[in-house]
Amino acid sequence: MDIALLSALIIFSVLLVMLLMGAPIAVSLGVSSILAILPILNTEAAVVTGAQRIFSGISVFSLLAIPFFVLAGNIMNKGGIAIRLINLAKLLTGRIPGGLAHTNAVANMLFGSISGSGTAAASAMGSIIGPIEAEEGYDPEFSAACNIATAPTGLLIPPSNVMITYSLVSGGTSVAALFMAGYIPGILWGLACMVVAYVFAKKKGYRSTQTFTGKQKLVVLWQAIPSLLLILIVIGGIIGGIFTATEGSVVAVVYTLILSLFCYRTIKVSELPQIFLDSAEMTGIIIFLIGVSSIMSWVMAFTGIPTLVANALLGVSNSKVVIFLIINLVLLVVGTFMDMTPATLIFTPIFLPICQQLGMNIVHFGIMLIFNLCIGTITPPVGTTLFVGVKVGNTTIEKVIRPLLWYFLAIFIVLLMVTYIPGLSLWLPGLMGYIK
Amino acid sequence: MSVLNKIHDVIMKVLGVSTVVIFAFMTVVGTYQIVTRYAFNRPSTVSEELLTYSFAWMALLASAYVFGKNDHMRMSFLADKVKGNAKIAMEILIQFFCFAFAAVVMVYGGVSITKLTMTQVTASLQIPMGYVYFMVPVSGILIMYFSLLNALNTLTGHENRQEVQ
Repeated sequence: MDIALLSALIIFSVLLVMLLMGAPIAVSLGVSSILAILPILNTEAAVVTGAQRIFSGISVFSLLAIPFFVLAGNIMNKGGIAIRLINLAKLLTGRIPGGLAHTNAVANMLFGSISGSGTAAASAMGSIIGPIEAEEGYDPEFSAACNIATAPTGLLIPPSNVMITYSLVSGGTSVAALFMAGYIPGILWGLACMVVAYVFAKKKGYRSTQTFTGKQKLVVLWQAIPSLLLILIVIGGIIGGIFTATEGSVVAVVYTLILSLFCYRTIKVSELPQIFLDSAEMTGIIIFLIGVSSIMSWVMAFTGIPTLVANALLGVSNSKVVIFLIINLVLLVVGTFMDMTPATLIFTPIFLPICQQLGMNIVHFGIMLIFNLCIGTITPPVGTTLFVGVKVGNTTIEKVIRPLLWYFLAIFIVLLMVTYIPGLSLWLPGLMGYIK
Repeated sequence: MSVLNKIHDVIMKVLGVSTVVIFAFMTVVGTYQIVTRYAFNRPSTVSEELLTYSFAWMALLASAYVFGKNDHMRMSFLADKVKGNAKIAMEILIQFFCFAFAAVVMVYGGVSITKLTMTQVTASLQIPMGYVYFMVPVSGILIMYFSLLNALNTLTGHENRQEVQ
């Protein structure tokens, strides 16, 4: 039997069984990879290289942006930032029918661009806007569906830890380019959902009751400035090439620390160790996955599995349109079952080579991959953002799924646009000179 | 059993404090690096290497910590449907995989790579690479202990300590 085929069979069958059993994903990756290399390499060499790959996979300077962005996000989540951003979003969207749902959508996009976490956005926004919406007579399903549908936009709008992971696993793609590339797809996602919310609101006759006086508007803007300044400094600095993503993440930590300790006074110094520990735990989970998955990417490259997959796909069809569609469907299914980080780590080395062969830009592929996996975070059976959104929205998955289906349709249309119109991802980074 | 669980609690305490200290240290060094680069226009290669390796150590300790909480990312939607003895058997098999991976790759492989790289030195700090690699087997030993304990607790009907959900 062909050695690549044998290794592929071992790696995928062992991985599948272990994952379904509920074994830690990182351990499943490690065990299946080591077993798959054994037919080619002696055990001693495989094991020593494995240990070496774990360490070299995580001692990478650009990965430091992950713990620091997680930390900055956790500091911000404790603070009064969510309500300030909601007020700003209200100012922007208050007059549209179903205004609060639009406020929710815009606030999710703004909040995501600070915390970079879909679940954090869904829980922060849902718990604040949800009750106000209920007061104004919105159905809880309607409110929750819009909150859930727009929460993942923050994973496409920078900063985004998944993009940093992708940048590494795709072989050093520029983080700044990926950050820029995420803006248009992320905003389109949000806008598409706002269209759905608009139609729902019109049908149900929701209106907006709140208006702002001139003075209130100024107060709202003034209060939101420190948060907006963070986006400007950190993201502006990174995409403007003033500092690296890692340095930007450190700036974000320092800035949020000063803001919440001294200006907003929402955090006490005594609370800091717990915030650091929570962030370290999240880091441990993500980074261990990245380290162990570098064993897998080594095994894949060594045995030629990506070529095997590419040939199989090209055997089905040689049309770009069909192959991209197949890849989208696979990623959508994977995304519904698996978390974004492991899915990115596993499927980038498998699908990136064939997409590049078909002329897709590496940045474009990253955005398409992340977009697909983002959808998975809000679909059953294992959508973490869906669960959080349902919980804070005081409703159930069964009830929320019907309105949510319309949002899925809208998001899916945007997904097809992002897949087949490279310009949506590449225009902005091209403008900044990151892509030639 | 209770002695083993007490040891677990002590290890967790130590791990928690160490990761927080290293993380805080990283924040300070990171800030220092930016300041030297912009204020003095002199990028410090020493601080970059220090940051990278302390991050790797922190991440390895933190991932051992997460094993101690039995809280690593997993796909539980199917496994949760299994009940009774089958569930116990499956849980023990999972812990066996964790144990075996940590023992063979992280401890055995990790000790070998630590020995092999004792003669190489890092680019800026000029310390033996083996010192830096050393954290791989250390983390491996902790993971072995935690998975053994998790398996024993499952077998004896103890709730796994601090397990989430």
